[in-house]
Amino acid sequence: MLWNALRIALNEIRRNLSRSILTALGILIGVAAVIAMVGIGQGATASVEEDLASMGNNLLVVHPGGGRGPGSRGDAPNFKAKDAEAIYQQVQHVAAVAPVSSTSAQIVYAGEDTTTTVYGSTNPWFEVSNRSVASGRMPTETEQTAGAAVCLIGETTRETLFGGEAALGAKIQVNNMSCTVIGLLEAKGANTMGMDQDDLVFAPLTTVQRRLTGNNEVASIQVSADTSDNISRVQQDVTALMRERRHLPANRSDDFQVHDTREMAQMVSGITTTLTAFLGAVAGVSLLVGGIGVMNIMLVSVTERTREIGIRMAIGALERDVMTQFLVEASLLSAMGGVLGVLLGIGGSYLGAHLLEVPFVFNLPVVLIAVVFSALVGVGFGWYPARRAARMEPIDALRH
Amino acid sequence: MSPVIQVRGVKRIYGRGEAEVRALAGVDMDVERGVFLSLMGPSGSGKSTMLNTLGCLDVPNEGSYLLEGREMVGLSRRERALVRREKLGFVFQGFNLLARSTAVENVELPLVYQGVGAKERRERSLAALERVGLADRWDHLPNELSGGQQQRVAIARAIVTEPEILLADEPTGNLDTTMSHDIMALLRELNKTRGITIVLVSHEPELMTYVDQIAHFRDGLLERIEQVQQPAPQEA
Repeated sequence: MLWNALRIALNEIRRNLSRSILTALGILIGVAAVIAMVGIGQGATASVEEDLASMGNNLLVVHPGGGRGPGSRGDAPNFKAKDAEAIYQQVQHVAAVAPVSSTSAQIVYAGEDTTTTVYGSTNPWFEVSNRSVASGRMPTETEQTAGAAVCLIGETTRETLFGGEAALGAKIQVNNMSCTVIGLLEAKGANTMGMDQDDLVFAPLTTVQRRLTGNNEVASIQVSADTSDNISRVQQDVTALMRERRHLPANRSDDFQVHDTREMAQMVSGITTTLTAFLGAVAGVSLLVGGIGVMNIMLVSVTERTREIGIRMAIGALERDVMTQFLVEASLLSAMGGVLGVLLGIGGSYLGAHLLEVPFVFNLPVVLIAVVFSALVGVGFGWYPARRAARMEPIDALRH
Repeated sequence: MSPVIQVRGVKRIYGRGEAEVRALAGVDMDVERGVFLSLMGPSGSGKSTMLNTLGCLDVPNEGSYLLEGREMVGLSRRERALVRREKLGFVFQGFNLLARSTAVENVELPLVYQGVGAKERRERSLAALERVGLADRWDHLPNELSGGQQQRVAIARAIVTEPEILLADEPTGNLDTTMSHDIMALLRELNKTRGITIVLVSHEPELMTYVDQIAHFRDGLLERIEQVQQPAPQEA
């Protein structure tokens, strides 16, 4: 019976080909939209998460100042390199600690100049901020202690100053300091906010403090926990240690902040997830509209075929048989649209991912859900027309 | 043996109040097994309503209709559909073939609903087409056949399930005289050779030579049953 219903349905679809195609198109667009939107949304989420991971390994950033609200001090003292040392010595589960002092500086080389940020830190900086040296070397122990005039430069900075010329060993002017380029940093590209992460100069902390900022303070301390599970624990311990070192009585709130970069990651991926759901829902509405199109056409079809239904019932079709026939037809219509929609949707999300420069995410569950949903749309919206057909009185249908 | 059809006090009333139409106003009628019966009467006499009632397509408001001793009044839609499927064959005035299906596919249709397998279905349908003299036209579409041929396909469709009763609503109404006689002769032959009880509606007196009995209807009542004078085989 089912096979027979399928055959009848195929014949009907073929007979009203243009009408069937237009109806299936509604479903096709709906399914394609759902898959493409969710696919692109998930690609964006994946891209954001990738960027955030590239910011650093299980990274906590300790800033002075902070706590708005009662008891906070606008003039919170800055940290010193010793604070970073203390964290590394006293807090458990810390993989690396890097005190960072940064300043904006004008860089000049052979008539080319640019303004960029100079980061002064110790070598663990490479580990905590997830950077590596593309060529050349990191500063030696001696250079760090002595505050030697050496630096590493980011890819963008190198391109601006040197173009095609060799940069290693060249002397560049950083504000009033002349320093030797001893290494090039591996390129990282733009971050989530679109900021170029390759436009920078790195120098030993002592060098930056003595020759550029003129003080022994650090603007932030970057702390890398050994595993992501320990981040919260390290955050608490660092907070406690800093309160102790800054002699804060229990009734005073923190005059510093310990940021967990995961919080930001969670926030940003939360936004993109919400956006994905929203886009998916909008696309889902178009699927719904497609379903109404199926219902519309099925109602027309039932009316057109009233007499046929009467004949079938007179010669032995049960309600169930008529119901099956029309449900199969509606499901077939939307399933055809669904399958083509999947192909178009995957193509669309591939293209969209390419245009938006986010990774292409092939999401099998979403594809399956879209296909199942489109078949359900067929059954759901075919139900009413099919029932209408099945509930006809054969004698009335025959008179039609 | 009891009559295959036993109708008692059947009333069928359409509409209400002023617009009330008494299509059947209390009919008693018996039809013996194997009889070829024609319902006759002017239009509005209730003969078509009677046929639809016998065919479980229409339900009387009152009365009793026993088909092979089983009460049909009060059956659900599904039960009536099952009776039609298993016991009855229908032939309509307008042939009512499915236009986009070939002759043999049309004949197969009742077997499809009976759940008969494809191979057996095809064999039985071809046999039925052969029985009505259309074996060579099995793969023609209805519009490639003459009216008489279409009605033969419809008859093949009606007998393919080997029903107890064949019901025909003016089966010759759309046919010319020659074809009408052909169809009546075919029905008569099926009635005799297979012993199928046939009830048809007709208002063409010249075709009444083929039937055993004529039930005359007037104003929703059965006036009388006329025995047609001819050597009719009455095994019942």
